[in-house]
Amino acid sequence: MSALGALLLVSLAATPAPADPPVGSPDVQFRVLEPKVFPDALRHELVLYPLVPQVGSTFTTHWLISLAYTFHPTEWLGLRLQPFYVWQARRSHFSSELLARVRQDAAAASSVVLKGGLVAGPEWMPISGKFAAFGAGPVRYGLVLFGGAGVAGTEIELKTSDPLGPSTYGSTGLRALASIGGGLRVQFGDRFTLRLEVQDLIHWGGVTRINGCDATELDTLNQQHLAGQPLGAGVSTQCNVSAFQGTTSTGYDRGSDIGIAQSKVKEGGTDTLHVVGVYLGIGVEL
Amino acid sequence: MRRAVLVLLLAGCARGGPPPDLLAAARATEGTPGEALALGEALQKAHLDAASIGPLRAAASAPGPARGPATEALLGAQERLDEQLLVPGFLAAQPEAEPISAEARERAALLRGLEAQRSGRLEQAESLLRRIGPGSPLAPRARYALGIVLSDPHHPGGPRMQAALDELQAVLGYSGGGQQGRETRALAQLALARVLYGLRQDQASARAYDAVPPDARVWPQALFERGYPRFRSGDDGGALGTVHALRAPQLASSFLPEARILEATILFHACLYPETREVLDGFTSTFRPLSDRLRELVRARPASSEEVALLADPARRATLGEGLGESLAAEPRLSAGLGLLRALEDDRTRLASLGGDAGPALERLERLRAEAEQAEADAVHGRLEDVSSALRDLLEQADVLRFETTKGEKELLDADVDQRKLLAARPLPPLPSGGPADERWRVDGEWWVDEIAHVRASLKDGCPVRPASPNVR
Repeated sequence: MSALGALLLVSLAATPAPADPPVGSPDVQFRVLEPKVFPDALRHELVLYPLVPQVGSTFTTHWLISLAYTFHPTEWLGLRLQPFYVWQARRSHFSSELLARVRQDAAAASSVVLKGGLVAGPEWMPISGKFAAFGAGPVRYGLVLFGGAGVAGTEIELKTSDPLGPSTYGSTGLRALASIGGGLRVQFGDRFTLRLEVQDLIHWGGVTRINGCDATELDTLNQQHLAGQPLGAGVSTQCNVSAFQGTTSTGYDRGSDIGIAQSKVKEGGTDTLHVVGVYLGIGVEL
Repeated sequence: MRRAVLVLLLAGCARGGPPPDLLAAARATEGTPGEALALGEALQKAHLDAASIGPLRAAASAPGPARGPATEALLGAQERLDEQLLVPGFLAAQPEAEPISAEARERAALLRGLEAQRSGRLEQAESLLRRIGPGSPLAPRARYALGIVLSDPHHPGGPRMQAALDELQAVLGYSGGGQQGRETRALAQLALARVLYGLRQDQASARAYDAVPPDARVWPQALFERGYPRFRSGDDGGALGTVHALRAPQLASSFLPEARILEATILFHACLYPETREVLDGFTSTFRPLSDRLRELVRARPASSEEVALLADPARRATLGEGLGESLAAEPRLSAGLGLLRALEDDRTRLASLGGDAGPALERLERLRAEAEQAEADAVHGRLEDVSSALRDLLEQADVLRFETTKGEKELLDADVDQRKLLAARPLPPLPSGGPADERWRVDGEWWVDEIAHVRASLKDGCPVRPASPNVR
């Protein structure tokens, strides 16, 4: 058992009975030394979190899908690799209200959203136990804690959603990511697991480039756009000019994003952002 | 006339009346062996297997052309009903009654072999059981019984332990067979552990006991018995843990009084005298009243129906107490006897529904039912006698242990040993460190069925010096 020992849940299936002799004796001690029915050590676990909502957001709202691969070198320790993809990230309801009612937008550094990424780190199961459900055999559960680091692609909203079309976004590049989380892992039989976790994906920094273009390059592009000149002369290859060219499917001129991007880059400032999600996943152990 | 009867029968069926097979069976007579065979077959055709046993036995006991088919049909009914009292007894008493097919001959040999083993005719049992080939569906059952016969101390020429181990090991190699197959394999595993214990191979014996599946009927028995090889090999904690685990309420329907004696013996061996006394007092207060009740019951020998009701009626069963009734009712032979009585009662109900037509058939059935009841009552009585005798022995052992405990306490006083101080100075020995996947749980009166097999104890040695006698291991 781990350093923190085992937690035994009292359940309906366990039959309480008065202590029998010689249980009360100080000279005799009884313990159950039970081999774990379904050991985790040296096994691989794959968990799919199909729909992860963000909770407690201020300026942004994320919906993710995630997959976690965990290798368990021991019963209590796992090494976790977790890619995720944000299939919807948008301005939060609060931020939209703020903009609509008082024309106050969130700071650019606070509005950066995640696009997708990967975190890796250790997982620890300090407490485990079992419970019985519906008269079936005991179901094993464990409290898992995990943390890690990784990298994520980010973006920022440029044009807000309006009747003429949806929001447009500009890439704010790759960012370092830290993660911390914990939750409950339940093991059904030899193969299947169910996890309910809360994980905080933390990223930080300011908005210094949008679509790879810094403030100077955006200024150049803006002047070219206002003059009706072709875009691209005098900017570095890192600056993704094509992201500002053409129109969206609703006919919105992407060149109009240059001015917005320029103002967001000029804002300066930094922020640390938390994407706290509730991860409900089903897994399989191999 | 025959056409008129047929029209009447069909008309009866059309009105939702009794089926023609049933009517034919009820009206048939049992005169000659041929008629008895025809009657038995008619009863079986009407799905009255239990009722068919009577006429088929009559046909199979008389020489002539009906004997073979009647024995064959009798064995068919025995197989379908899992009947273990009347047909095996009949076959043992009628060695000339042989069925026609090879499969039925093997079944007859098995049943005769089991009867011979039960009555102590071991040489005959061995010869009969060896007739069943290893490829037969009956081979696991036969080889298990052969293993028991070969390891019997009364085996002619002495027990052949290695041969017995080989037979029992072979049983474990068979697969399938449904519930009966699983039961046979569990019994073979238990027998294997017992033989290994007899050979003083304690480690192997303990492992064999551990391998008895937890869902087997004999699992509680295996849990208890595995305490012996552990104790004899010096694993007192393992032995005490396993017998203590038998207190789990999930095993309340198992009758294992000897576990308390082994528990007390282990505690006595560690000179934990108050604990020994506590266990012995608990044993005596629980089992002396039961022993007294059983002795009176065996002496008075109630009527057959009363003895059968002791197991058949759940309320009466509970009056035996301490799980004895449930334990006896679960024994295959007694359980099969109760099953036969139920089947006979069902057949009687069906025949009675025919009214006046079924008079002679009901009379024959009643005679058979009385015979089956008597056979079951004899079996119940025999087991009650066994249990009563075993309980008396155990109560005597408890008295001996109690005396030895008092003697041990006196020796401590004579040697001026303050055992409390001595025990307080000694730490509890650590439990064996398990593998990384081992879980440890407290034992505090809450029992989980998955934990019962994994209880271990850690106990202090309260002896100032190891007592030279008695050597209880």
